[in-house]
Amino acid sequence: MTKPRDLIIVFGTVQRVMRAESQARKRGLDVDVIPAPRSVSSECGFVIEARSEDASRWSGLLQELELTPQSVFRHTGGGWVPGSLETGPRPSNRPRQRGR
Amino acid sequence: MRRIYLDHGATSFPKAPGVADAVASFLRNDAGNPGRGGHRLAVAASRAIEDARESVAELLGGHPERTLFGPGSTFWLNTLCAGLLGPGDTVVTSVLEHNSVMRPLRYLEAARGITIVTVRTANASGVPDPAEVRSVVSAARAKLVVMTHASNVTGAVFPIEDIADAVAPVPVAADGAQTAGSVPFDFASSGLAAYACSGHKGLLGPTGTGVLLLAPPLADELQPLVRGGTGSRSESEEMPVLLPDRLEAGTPNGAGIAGLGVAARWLLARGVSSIHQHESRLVAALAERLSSIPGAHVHGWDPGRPHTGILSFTVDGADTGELAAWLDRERGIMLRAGLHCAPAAHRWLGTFPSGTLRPGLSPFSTGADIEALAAAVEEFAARRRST
Ligand SMILES: Cc1ncc(COP(=O)(O)O)c(C=O)c1O
Repeated sequence: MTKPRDLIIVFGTVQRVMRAESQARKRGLDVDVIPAPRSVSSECGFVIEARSEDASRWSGLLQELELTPQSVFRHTGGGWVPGSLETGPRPSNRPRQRGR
Repeated sequence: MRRIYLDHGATSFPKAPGVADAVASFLRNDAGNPGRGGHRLAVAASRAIEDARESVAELLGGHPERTLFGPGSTFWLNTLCAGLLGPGDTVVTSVLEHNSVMRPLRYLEAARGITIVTVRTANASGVPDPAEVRSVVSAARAKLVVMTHASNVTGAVFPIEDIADAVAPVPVAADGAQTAGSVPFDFASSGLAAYACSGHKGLLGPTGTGVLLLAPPLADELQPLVRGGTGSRSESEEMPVLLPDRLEAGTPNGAGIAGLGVAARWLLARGVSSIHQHESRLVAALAERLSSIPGAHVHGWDPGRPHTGILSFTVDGADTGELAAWLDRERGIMLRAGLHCAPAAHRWLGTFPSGTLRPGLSPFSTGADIEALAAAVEEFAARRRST
């Protein structure tokens, strides 16, 4: 796949990031851990880099692991824009909401 | 001369297969500073540590987020005592504790005015019944129970899950130094609030590693003993609230933890209950064999109780240090003589201050090992009697 990964998921600790990464890999999701880009604030410095087409699988996985992301970003219009796993880009960086 | 290592109570040797390679591989390939900086070596080191955390959590029944790494049982027992006990608090403990429990408690008694109440059980083994602990805890209005899961002197296993059940909701923090990896245990269903253990004993990992498992609500309350950098929330001069970061300040022992992770996977495959069966069978045979030697005495042994692969013995007229040195030099057998950092236990057993000899078995110990020890002790005791 040549298209760059366009989804960022932020957690509060490296432990959560790595747990999410390894569980996602086990389920065959395309994922990497990268340092948080400038425009994305992360308390632990690392973030999950994934693909927006997998967003709903991520949502299911994180519910299963009882891991709530601190924030989610999508790459749109040349930059990282706050969003969620359920919807497309959102204007503000609100906490993730479930069950819509 | 064949070398026979029987000091697994102090630290295990050999380590689990693959541990040394995992340590070397971490140092060769992954030795960045985990969580500090975003480059690939920092990521690789973080992955290695978090993989190990998952394995250790799975082995012991911990939640990965509340499975903490540190340098050993001592560090985590200090954290628990200092983090949970303040002026006016009463703590209940047993007569068989290691100094990694008694010294922090004695310090807090002097420094903070805590009260220490010891369960002076009716059982000769020193292991209290859950009902005895409950009555002491309620009479003393204790805030916390800190108790070993097994004596490092006699190997007697405490019914720690039943004790936790009996004293609930008073939290129980267990010292699992002698049981982790050698006695079947599941933290999640244990009812314990906390469980501290060493990575280098029954867990068969490198020295300088230890584990703390926490359950809520204690997990949310416990304050660190040591504060400093975590790689997270670096803009703040306060410790982060989230675990594991709150309790893991400073660069962790990545190489040791990578080795511990491999050891945990080996233990999962081998099975702790099969290890326990193996060690129980051998240690019971050793107790019986030593007890049959004229002049030799096994201390605190209770055949009706589960034991780890440890026991304590003495030989009439023999200095324990002298006998241990003879076993090492003349027979290649390594074990530990003296007080084993547990003077309270030896006072209870009546073996203070001279102490005992303490063989400790491992998954790799064999019937031939214990027979070699018994034969050597028999020879030494016979010589003692004839001089
Ligand atoms: C019962 C018990 N508690 C605590 C410890 C301390 O463990 P560590 O030296 O790994 O901190 C030991 C080790 O000797 C022990 O046997």
